[in-house]
Amino acid sequence: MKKLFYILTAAVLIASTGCSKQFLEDMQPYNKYGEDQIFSNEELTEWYIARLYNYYFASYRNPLQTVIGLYNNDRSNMTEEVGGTIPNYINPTKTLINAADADNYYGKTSSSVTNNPYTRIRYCNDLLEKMDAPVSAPLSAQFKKQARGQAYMLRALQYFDLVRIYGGVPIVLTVENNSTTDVSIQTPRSTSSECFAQIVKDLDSAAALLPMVWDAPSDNYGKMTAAAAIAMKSRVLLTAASPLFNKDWDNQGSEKWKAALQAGLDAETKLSGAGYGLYGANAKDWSEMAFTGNAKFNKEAIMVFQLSDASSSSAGYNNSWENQVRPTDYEGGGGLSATKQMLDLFPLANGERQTLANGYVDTFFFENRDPRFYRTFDFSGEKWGIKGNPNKTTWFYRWKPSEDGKVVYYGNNQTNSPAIVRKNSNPEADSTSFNYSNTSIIEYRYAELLLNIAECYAATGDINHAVQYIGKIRARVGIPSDNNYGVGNLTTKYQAIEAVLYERRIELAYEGKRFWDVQRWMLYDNTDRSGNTVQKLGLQPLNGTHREGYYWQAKNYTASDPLTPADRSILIDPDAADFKAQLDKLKSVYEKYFVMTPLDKPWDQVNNTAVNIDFQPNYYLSGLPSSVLSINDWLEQNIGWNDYSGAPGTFDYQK
Amino acid sequence: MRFVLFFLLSLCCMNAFAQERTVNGVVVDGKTGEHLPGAIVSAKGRPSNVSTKYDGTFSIKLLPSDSILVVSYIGYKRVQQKIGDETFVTIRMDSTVSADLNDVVVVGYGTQSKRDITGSMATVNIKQIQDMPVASISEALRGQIPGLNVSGGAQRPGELASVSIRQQFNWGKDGGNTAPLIVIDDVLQVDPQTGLPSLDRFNQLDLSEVESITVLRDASAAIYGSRASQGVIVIKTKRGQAGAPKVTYSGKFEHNDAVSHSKVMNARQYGEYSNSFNKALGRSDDYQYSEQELNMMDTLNYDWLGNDWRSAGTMQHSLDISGGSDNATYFMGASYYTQGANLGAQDFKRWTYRGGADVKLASGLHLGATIAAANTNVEKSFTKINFSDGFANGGEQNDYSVLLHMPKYIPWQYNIDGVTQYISPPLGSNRAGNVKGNNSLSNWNYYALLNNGSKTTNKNFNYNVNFSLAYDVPFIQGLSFKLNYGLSQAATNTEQVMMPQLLYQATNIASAGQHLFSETADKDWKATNNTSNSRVTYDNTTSKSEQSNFFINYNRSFGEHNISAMVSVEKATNELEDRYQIYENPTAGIYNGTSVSAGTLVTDNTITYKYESGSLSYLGRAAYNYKHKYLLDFVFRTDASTVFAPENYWGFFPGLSAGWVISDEDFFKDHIRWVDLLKIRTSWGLTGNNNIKAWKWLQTYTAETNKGFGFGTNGGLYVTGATPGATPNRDVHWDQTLQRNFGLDMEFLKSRLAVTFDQYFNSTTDMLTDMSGALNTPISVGGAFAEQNFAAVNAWGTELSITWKDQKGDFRYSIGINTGLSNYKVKKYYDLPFDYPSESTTRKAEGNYGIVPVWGFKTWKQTSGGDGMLRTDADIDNYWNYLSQNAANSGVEGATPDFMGITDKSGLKKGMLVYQDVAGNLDADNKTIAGPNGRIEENEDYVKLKKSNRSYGLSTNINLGWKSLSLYTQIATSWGGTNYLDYIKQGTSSTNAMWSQPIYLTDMYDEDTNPDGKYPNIAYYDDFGGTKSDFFMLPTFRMVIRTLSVGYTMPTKLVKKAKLNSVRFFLSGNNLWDLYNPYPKKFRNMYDPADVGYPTLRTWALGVNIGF
Repeated sequence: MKKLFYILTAAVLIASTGCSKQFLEDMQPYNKYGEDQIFSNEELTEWYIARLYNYYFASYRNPLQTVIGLYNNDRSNMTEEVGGTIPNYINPTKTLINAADADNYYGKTSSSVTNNPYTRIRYCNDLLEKMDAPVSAPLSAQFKKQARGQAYMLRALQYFDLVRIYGGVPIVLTVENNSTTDVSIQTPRSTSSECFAQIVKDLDSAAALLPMVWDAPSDNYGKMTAAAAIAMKSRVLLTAASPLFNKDWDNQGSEKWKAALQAGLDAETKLSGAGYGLYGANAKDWSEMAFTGNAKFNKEAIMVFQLSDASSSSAGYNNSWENQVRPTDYEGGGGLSATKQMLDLFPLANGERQTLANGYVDTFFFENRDPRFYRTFDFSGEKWGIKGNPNKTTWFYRWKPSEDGKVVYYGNNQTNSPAIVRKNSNPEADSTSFNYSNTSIIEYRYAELLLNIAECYAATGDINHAVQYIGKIRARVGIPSDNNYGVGNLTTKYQAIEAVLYERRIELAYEGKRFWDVQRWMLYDNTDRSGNTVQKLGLQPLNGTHREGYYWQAKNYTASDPLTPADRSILIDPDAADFKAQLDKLKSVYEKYFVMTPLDKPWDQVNNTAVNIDFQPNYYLSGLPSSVLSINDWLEQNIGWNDYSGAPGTFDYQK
Repeated sequence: MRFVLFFLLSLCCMNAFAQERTVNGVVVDGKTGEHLPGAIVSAKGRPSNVSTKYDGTFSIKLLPSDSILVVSYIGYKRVQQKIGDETFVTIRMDSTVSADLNDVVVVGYGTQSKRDITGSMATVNIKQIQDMPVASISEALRGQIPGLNVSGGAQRPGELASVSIRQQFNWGKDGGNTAPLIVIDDVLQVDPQTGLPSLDRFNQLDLSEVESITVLRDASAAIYGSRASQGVIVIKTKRGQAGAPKVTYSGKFEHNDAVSHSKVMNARQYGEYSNSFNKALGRSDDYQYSEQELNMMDTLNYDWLGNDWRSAGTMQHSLDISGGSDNATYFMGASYYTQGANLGAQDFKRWTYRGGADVKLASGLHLGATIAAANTNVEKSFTKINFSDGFANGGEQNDYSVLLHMPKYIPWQYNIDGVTQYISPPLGSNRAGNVKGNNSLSNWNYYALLNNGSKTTNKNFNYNVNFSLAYDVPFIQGLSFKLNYGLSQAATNTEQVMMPQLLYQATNIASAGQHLFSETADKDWKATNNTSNSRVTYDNTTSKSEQSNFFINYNRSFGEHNISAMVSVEKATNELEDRYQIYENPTAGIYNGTSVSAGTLVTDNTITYKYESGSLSYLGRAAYNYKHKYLLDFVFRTDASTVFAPENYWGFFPGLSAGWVISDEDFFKDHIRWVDLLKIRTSWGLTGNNNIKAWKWLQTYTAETNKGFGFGTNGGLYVTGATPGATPNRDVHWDQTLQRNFGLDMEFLKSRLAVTFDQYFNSTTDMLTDMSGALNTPISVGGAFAEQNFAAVNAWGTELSITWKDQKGDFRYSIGINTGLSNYKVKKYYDLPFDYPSESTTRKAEGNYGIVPVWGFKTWKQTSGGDGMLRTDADIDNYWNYLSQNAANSGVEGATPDFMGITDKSGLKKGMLVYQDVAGNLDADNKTIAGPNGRIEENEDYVKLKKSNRSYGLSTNINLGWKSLSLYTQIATSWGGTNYLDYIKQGTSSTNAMWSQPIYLTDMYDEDTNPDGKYPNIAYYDDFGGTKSDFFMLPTFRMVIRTLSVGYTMPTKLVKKAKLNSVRFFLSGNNLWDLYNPYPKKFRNMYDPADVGYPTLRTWALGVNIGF
């Protein structure tokens, strides 16, 4: 009995001492860290930075994908490089002019963290502020410097993509507290020029803080560098000088061209001084530069994103390109059919443009071409290895037993073209796991820097230098130096610009760059509004064209494969001595068995109707979407687009 | 101390010295004279009691001071009978037609006599629902109590119904929960991970363990303070009753099958549908099934679902023992539940155990102890498909819909080179598929997975112990202390195994004339071992929740003044640890259940998590009544929780309620005889809600092993990344609901008619609101925004239940109707941009109501068929002219026809729906909307299709009884609101599977083959905006007989011969028949939409209850 009383008394005491709320305050969120922890420990700060990079680049799995954070194929699908997909911007049955139809990239507010441009910018700003705040005192000066440098670089990249999509946008450089009433954070759109200036400023800051090449590449290769910042400045200023943003583009004394040229030359000097340059000395090296490994410095790679080489889907960032380009016969995703435009585009072996006059016949597109042609495309009989079978080839043709009979494709390679894209594919890729081929995406190659310089020289009227820089690109892949590496003698500034743009299409084909060149130069249409660039450069507008393809089809109706294994035993290796003889064999097989046959159905079509590309002038830069304008009504709409109420926009992005 | 001890001891001993006498008697039914076994007999004022034997007789020892016997028996009115010197008494009891007002109702932290109740509380009639063949209690509550909403349940094994009370609002971004708080024996049930109310343990209870269920719908829940806004369900489990040991067995044997499966196209119908679809899209001949193939399809019927689906059995058994003496009572029970599978393999077993004892340690000192445990083991096939598209909804529970809608010309096995192999289902007419792809249908074969050792095993064990120690303070009459301690721990082990599937893929299937496997030569088959999802995962969770309370109770009557009061302090903590391991690429045939054979460890995804949370509360109740006629009740609680910043830990929640039993007033009693009871009651109280995730007041960074970007040798690999959380809002605090309730309890006509009416009006303020969509929120700030306490809403509703009960001779019956109406109005919300009425009237915005109009397109009826579908070229011309004229007449410069983004007439196709053009641009500055402008756009051209989306519902509970036969049924009726035809989009990208559609779509429009087709061509789904028009609206009336049970109690004489106490048999069914079906060709039932992930099951059960 007595015991019970003690128990009771003790229990009452326990219950009453338990009433302190201290036990609540002692509780903690386990897998979470506070800011005082994250920014006062180098490893934790690295985790934060690793997450920031992830926000930016996690979706970047394929070189055709563009736009930071978003990384989709839409823009590449609007060029002549890829057929069959009709994004709204080139769909002639659609007219986008209302804010409701504008690009949603700008983002929107959310109560859970959403990966969108201003969120990424906020986290860059946060890192910059924290590296200056007392909380970061335990971090080394060197570490803080590099952290800040990366934040500046990432912030610049994000603003650049915002400006490329919308023109001038609000510039926010500090961490702001959300409020619906604080007028000071209702930041209006800055002009495009102001944005470009800010981007350049950030790039300069990054260049001053980051190393040109990180030491210990096994830990750091792939991080942003000063070299990337310096080279990015060239790309940014080139964009700012281009007709889309520069009303004065046609003036070869334009300050913008001069600034872009200066930035390019400056980058060339500094980068080459730090060991950057063109990778390799021939076309074979050129084709192999994307898989040099994840921890080895690659002199061509100014900005590089590495993809997973692990054998597990949940371990990393898989490569979707390798699988996409491999045809069915390789157990791949089916292959990326080359458009006829692209097949016809490449120069001849001597660097000259292909014409009827100099003997180019599209039926025999594979004959006598620029060395890069054979590394950009794969066609029947061409050597294209995979792991365990370095000499593997496949063929692209079909046959029919009768007029109405069912079509059979060799190897089920149901492609819309007798050639498919093979650039940046790894001959060591394993067909059971193409996703894990150890390939990198070199987002910014040294070759592009040289072409940027060439373009600026051309636009400023220095034709000789422009041609000289094109020559550097061509020399590396083994085009003979005669006749200015086949470029010929150019006489006008416009010819020189066109030559550079052409070289970019070849050298940078299928690297996600073409849309931005078309956009900068407004090459879809030839109107006053587009500065008549198409006419001045002597081009044809993309509008009104469609992506074309064709088949190699058996001449005669046949129930079985017209070719014998012996016919298909041809191994075409552009690195082989008897390369030309092999091509001749292919030609003879073609002549014997095949005929060029138009596609069964047009490649570009909308709901059963063939369409031509129709890109409206207001699409070069998207308006702000209605979800943005309706909530942030201090933001002006772009000229050419309607605002939330349907009234015409007023924001001039060329300012 | 010694004195107290002596005092107590002497109290204990006093009985022994008093003079006793023994009284014998018998308890009989007042009407039938039947002897009643098991009635409880006691002397008034003393707790000790005896129960009547099988023949209704009893024998009780009485003190000289005892003058009144109290007899109670379930289902009968309590009797108080005066006794004089007689040694044998006969006590007649009247069966209760109306609920006994003296019944004790379990309320928050205590009990109250039913007649003293002032809040809106409803008790569940356990007897009525105990026969129902349901997997969980939640499901049994459907239609039982107005204001209690039950949804889901009766589907895939392990999927339980969800419950909510009255109207709940979660306007924060996440962390929301509408589930009511469950309190089992005074222990609050919260999820140890989130700290939010949890239904887990509630759903594990077997009905045989439950003594009573009370639903608190109003301010009477304020005693649960910060968690009370969602309402509270208070459960008391069975305790022992003094008397001879009573053993009860009950068993149910159930039969489950789908109510029905949607009717889908057969092989040929699918082929024709697919041809129409692909032709409309303009796809090449490779997509067309040839006439020859269609003819062959006539002979093909591979029913992927039907091949495995079967009816299944379930068994439930429970055995209880209860008994005890004056000084100690006990209760022990065990239940067993096992469920068979309708699909795949399954071994599901659940055991629950409960034991409890109440011991009088000394006079005034009571110890109560309960230990309960539950053990659940499930081993089932693992046929997960990682595919979301059309009829496939992704995830583990997705196979049903995929199997049902798999085209029937595709076999799951095929004879290749003389060997039967599993095949890779081709996605459709021109899809060879990709066996290696991560997210496609073609890398999945249900039957391959069923037979390759893929399985998931889940073992759950938990136990709860409750101890209470009560002490009646001897010096002050009515004062007592009580200490309560509840502990619950749970451990869950889940093992998931997905083995590689060896699938054969027909490589040439993508070409015209080669779609059928009979056209595939052996050499064109390619074998692929699909390892892309093969893995073994182990997930172990352990959790612990503790709650301790210290109560001070005071109960006393002073003459006609009755007072009871209680204060308590409550402390609760929760913790949870989760360990997760994943191994990839296990080898088929080698895996033996442990990690050695499970493949390679994926280090990035092998994770350990910990969570903890806690709360501290002070609470109390004070009740006063005068003659049980004027009633007053006050409750309060003050809570502290780690969800908020320390300065916002505390919230205070009071509640006050009052009642007046008018029918007890003399003036009433004497004049209004036909009213037996009239009680009015009203309550007012403040309750809270913490619908926000924890730690939102603190800027945190969540470290995750796979969210970082690797460099150097880690290039392309996941590394650890620290993700910033939402920008914190340190000011977040409880939101508050001011609850007001007015209620009427009435009984008329000799208590045959009972009516309960409740009207509530709740104002919630400081609601945790997701403010990110507010006007003038700068998007350029970036990041995310934690909720703020901002919005306010008023919610009101009426609940009515009417019951008529009567008895005519041996025939007894009752009919009860439950119904309710509710609505809400937003009182405060952030500013939103000006918008079209379809948007501005239906969104959350200041002044908007919960019941809103239904908006959508109205089809343009001037088409040739008059149904709004384009069928001829003239239709297209006419419609385009109509838009062109509207554009021209709009007065807007540059206005051109635009149909949902189609700006060229060639974009309009036959087989599309077209709509009326009713409005044009909106002008946000002047807040006006222009007239028709030739443009058809969502929202802009929506019209009111219905004035209100309110749906009305009635549930009718009918009980019939004749002698020993009983019948119970529930009929649910509803109408109003909206109901749309299931018209499900068929995707067109290379990864979309081409599904076999519901059978009504055989009547889909096709320019050539079915120009009179009734339904638009799905190929144009996106072009005409899918189902957003009146075309797809269907009648909303529904009447369903949900449940039915018939019971038979064996005659006592017969039972006695078998040495049993009572025997009762019953047959019951759940999810029974619908009386009306508006769907074309009745292709689906009223329970399940066409893309349901698993069908509602109809269950029949045969059961028996035996008392020993």
